[in-house]
Amino acid sequence: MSRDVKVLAEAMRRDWNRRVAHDYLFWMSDAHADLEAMWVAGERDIAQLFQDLDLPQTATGVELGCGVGRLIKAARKRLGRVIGLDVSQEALTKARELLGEDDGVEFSLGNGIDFNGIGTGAVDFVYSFAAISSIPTQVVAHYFLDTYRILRPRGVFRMQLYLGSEQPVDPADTLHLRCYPEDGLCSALALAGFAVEWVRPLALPFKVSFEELSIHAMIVSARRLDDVKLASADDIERSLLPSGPESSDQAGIITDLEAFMTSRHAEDLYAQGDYERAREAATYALQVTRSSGIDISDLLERIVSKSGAELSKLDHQKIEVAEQLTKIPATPQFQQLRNAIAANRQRSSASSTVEVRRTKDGPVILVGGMHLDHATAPREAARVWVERSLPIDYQCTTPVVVFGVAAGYHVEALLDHGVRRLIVIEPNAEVACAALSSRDMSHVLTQVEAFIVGEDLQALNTILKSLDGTPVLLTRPPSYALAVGYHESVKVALYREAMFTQLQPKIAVLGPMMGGTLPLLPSVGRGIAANRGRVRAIDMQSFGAGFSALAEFARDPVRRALTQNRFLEVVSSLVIDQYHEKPFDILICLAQAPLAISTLEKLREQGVITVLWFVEDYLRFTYWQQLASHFDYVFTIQRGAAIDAIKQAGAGRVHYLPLACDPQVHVKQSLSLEEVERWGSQVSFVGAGYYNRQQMFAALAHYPFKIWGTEWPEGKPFDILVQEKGRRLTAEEYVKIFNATAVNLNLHSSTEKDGVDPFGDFVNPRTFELASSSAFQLVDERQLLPELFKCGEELITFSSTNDLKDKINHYLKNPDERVRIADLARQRTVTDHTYATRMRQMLAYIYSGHHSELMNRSSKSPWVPLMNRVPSGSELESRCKTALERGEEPTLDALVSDIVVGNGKLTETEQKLMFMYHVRKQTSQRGNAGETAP
Amino acid sequence: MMKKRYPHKSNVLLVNITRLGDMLQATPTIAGIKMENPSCKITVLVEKQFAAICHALPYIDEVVSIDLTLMVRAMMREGEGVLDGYDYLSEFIEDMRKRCFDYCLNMSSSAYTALLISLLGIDRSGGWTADNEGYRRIQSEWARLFATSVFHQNRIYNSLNLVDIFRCSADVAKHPNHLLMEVTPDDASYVEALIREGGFVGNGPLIAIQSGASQMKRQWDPVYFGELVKRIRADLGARIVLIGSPKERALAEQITAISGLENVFIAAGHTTIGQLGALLKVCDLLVTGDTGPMHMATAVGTPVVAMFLASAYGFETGPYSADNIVLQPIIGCGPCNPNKACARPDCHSTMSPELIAKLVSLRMAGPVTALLDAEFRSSVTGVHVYRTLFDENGFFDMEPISPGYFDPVGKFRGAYRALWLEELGGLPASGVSFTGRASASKLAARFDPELADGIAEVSRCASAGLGLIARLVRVIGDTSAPPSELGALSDQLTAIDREVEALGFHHGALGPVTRMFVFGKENLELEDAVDLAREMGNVYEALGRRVERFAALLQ
Repeated sequence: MSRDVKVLAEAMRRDWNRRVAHDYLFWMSDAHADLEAMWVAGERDIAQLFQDLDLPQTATGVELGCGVGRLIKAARKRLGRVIGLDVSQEALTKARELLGEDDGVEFSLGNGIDFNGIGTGAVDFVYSFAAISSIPTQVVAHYFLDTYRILRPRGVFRMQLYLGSEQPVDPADTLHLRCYPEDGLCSALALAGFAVEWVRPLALPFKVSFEELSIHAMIVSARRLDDVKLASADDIERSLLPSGPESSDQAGIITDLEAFMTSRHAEDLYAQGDYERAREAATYALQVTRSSGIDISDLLERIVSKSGAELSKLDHQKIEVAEQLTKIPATPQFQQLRNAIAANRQRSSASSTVEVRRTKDGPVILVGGMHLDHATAPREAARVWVERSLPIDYQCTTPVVVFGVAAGYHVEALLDHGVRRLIVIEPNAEVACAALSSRDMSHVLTQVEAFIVGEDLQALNTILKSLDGTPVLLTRPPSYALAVGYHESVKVALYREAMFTQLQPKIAVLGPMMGGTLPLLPSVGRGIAANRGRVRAIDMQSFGAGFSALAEFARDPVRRALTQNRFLEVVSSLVIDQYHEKPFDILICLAQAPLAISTLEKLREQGVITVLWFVEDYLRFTYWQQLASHFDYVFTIQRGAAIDAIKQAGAGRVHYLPLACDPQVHVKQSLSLEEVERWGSQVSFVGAGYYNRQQMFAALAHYPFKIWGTEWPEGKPFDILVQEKGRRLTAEEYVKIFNATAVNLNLHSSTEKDGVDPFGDFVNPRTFELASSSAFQLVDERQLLPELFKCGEELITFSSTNDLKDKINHYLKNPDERVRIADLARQRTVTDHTYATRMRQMLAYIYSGHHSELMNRSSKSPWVPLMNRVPSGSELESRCKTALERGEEPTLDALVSDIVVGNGKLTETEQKLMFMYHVRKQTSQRGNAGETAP
Repeated sequence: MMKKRYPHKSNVLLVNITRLGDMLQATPTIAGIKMENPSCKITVLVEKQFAAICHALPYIDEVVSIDLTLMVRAMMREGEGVLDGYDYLSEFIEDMRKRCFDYCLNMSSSAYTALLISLLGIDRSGGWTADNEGYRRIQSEWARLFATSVFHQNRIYNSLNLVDIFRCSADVAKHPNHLLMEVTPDDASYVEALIREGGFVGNGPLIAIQSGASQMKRQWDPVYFGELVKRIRADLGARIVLIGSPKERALAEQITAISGLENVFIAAGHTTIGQLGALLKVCDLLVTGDTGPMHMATAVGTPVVAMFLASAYGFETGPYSADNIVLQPIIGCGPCNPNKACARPDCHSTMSPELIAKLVSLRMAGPVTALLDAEFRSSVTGVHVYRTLFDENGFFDMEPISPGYFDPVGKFRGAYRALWLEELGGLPASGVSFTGRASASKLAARFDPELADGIAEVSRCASAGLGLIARLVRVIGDTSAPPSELGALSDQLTAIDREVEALGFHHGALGPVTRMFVFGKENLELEDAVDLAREMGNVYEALGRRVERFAALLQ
């Protein structure tokens, strides 16, 4: 028994102080909804402990491990005097506060070894509930012996613990459930001078025993014997752990139970809508987690986005900033820091929520009551955090970026750990001022490469340009919680290029069955492939006809809706089949993609990151309301209220992502005379006959005007204007019309407004398609258009029917001007507004948001060892790389897919790959022909 | 004297990777090469699982095996599997290249063996190889005939055994008239003990039965086999050995469930390949389908009664030795496509246990040379019964011994046999094959006028092609001719080729001659344009000559 029992006792004190400070209700009671529930649960449990107990009302009882006094209140009703003993000062303080003044109740701060301060033979009854199982066995042995000391002769010792199969628990652990063999416990109690009276199961209204694991919650009653020769604590420990603590050590499962429990708790609170407590629990889980196995960041982010707890927006400061500027080195990389600090000092400080508190290690900083550093031992906490957070294979020359400086203890710990290249970011300038004013940080400032204060991405990008290699990002959870949006931008900036080569997740794009979004599917696929994404399109178009046909068969609206829903469920479930056939990491759903909530949830259970690109007007199409919370990311073509509303509906992360063009489809074309004749006109419009278009275009009937598209009225003047009976056109046909027309009209649809919608915000795909095709267009004014194009230079807008007529007249007369503007529009579009650029933005958000998870998947990919092994510089390597760059895995099929037989001499590598391919093919054919033997 | 492409060979690689039967069927060729080139080294390349049998075959100097199963398993694994397969192949090829073969004979039509020959860089080849662009190439006309004959539509028109075609591809004229396999003393002793273990009563003939087959549709019903056992045991007092692989043991047990175990011994699963050869050697006769053991029996000199069911076709792969009995169903769907399964193999019922038992008794009495007598009339319905023999050129053939059935394809088979021996082998036509002899006059009278049209059409195409080639040669030589003229000629030639191929599909009987033409066109390899054009001319010329000769032979 080599461990120092005092060290164990100290660990118990530290751990339980921390837990109680976090959430005493959660850690001390199974019923943690509120205080009243805790007392009720206490009464329930004490009744079980006191069953068949014949004690006088004046008796004295001691509770071992009383915590915040959950049972004391109930025990006091049955005993004249109760002494609660616990190692946690925090717990006892809380217990006194909760129970108030009572002469019959005393508390004793335990030393974790014995009942120090309680006289020999002074008590009638010792009890313990849900405590012994968490106490290190070595400590338990000591308590058994001292229980004998304090009990009067024939006194009773009752305890609730777990009996059954011995569980492997780290001997120093203070939380895991220990389970002792019943024989072992009885022997141990005998060695400590007790005779076991009975052993009974604990009965509670929820599951407490785990038969499948042979762990049974029991209550044991033992009576103190007289004149017994007591054994040593070591012997008692040996009886409790027949396999010995060494074997437990070896089995020693170090799991993240504490982080796991609190993250689950946080999830529960989140589900209950108690976001504030959920945030506290998740932050706590982040602080105590010892592994990366629990994705608390994601939870925290969801909580923060729910609670709107962007607490970083501080208007004022109240802390006096000392003359810290003089401590900042006068080098260019600290210019940003100097400026930021100086700017912050100019601001008023009426209602700052930043405060500084003292600890034994020095000052710590809080924002809005939340600790940015550890509340009591920031230096030690920082050391542990660094050990836990740095990657196992970290090399000291790899740059580290720290998000969240606070009082700087973490930065110091990193430097102490040997990190050589350090860039620190403190998103809150006021916190930086507080740190600089309350601590001497000159040693930090002289060792870090840069110190960026406030939300300054430009400064960060400048610093990052000088770095070679991808830095390691270490994030302080409280700082993250206060600046979630900025943190996301930092991640994007940090990983930017590397993300697209390092992470190559498998991406599936799910298209709709029908409708205007259909043409996006191949374009989005190409856009992802252009960003080295390994993509495949799931095309549901073939189900469109079936879906439409349902309306013919089920005419009753209710029955039709039911049938359509059933159809959607079936089609949606096919996506799961697709996943099982060829798993993917990310599913990007285009608007109207047939996806049931159950499918989305099944995919998320498999770890698929779900994404919706909602390319429709959120006010007109509202199905996002049901779906939003089932997507990890929603991208929308509208800003502001749309994003807020979708967030409100429960979407994890919502971003603005406008539509785009596909330069492979939307091209400038040379047309034959026949084609110009068929498709061309002075003025053209391509699109469906929405209400506002009908209103406005009726006024243009006197122009040489052609309308192409569906859903136009049959009456005048559309009977003449609408071409080819209003049939649906292909994307290729659109492009011919664009190219054959002098002035293309583009009017965003509205079902209620006349003509131009004065509040229209998003920009339709037609704008980009026309521009990319070098076709001149007149487009209605949109709120979001000016940030995409220079209106008046690259695009010409109109605001009303009369304005449109004027502009048509003008541009019909000025063909050179049309050509010049159309060329500018094309240049701008193919540079900034392609699906490739949009997908890059989208993937940057997803990759940075799930960076560690995707990195982890990527490193576990079976293709990594292949790429490491394939001879460097060989043709085979180049073929593997080409396959990966195409977004495919370098399987045999991918490696032979671009070998063209009969197109010049095959290389030796090609011949070998073809050999392998044919061997495999023949083998499978042999199988298919039903042969049983050669 | 047979025409030869590469009469002299010193270091030969024979690629015969995937089948036991194929390996045995190659033995006359191997022996022939050795007989004609006594100092030649012969190496065979087989899949690992067949390496053992090669050691029992004579005249083989070295056996090299490739583990395709290992390779395929590796390739199925994600990640490094493909690299494992690639590395294995690379090492294998490197090792093979060191052996510096001067001639290769690959009669497997698979794309991968062709690529393998190309990777090994062996120029002189008697079978399939691939060119440097990845296309399969068949240099030898005999090998093209092989490919033509196994093309499903053409199979019924072929009467040349694949063993002979294979042999001729390797320029082998002298050869043994049977397959070859050596039996070791150890295997012989093992078999002696095994038979003792069988506990047979009496000294009746020892008759082996191979009931299993590589495909279900080629496996005669075990109930029939059970009946057969009962009959031959009763008729001949025979001792029966049920042979086969361990997997076929269950089948043998189904048979004994019907026949009982009296004088029946299940050897299935108790023999290695070598021991099976030894066992067959001591047997007096084997009843079987078209199986590996059938070839093994002919290799150890044991006569067989063989049932060619479903896709099996006796002329193609019949037991390569004289005086065997072969049964071939007369059924519209047979021989069927080997790559298609069959849910209702009606051909099985064309052969009754009674008929097989009678044939076994007949053959046990000695070689059958005369037509079957009246005793058989009732049981020989819906099936051709043949005896095997060799013609005066040393080529395997089958003669019908069942009476009375008209064979509508026989005339074509005979004509093609004569045509190819003449054209490819330079051997004198030995007259129309036996198959047509029975009703030759009837056949002449019924000569199909539609086919005559087809022959005329093909002949016309050949002439047109020759004319175009003459113009092509002129245009190539004329530097002032516009490039479009060359293109136009090429287009016209392509159109003719398509027409020839279509005629071959339309007139089934013209399939072999037109397919040979297609292979001829596909395998032109010369780089000089004029040489290439002239070579192409030869292909058209051959087409015209052959189709006319075919017509003449038919009449």
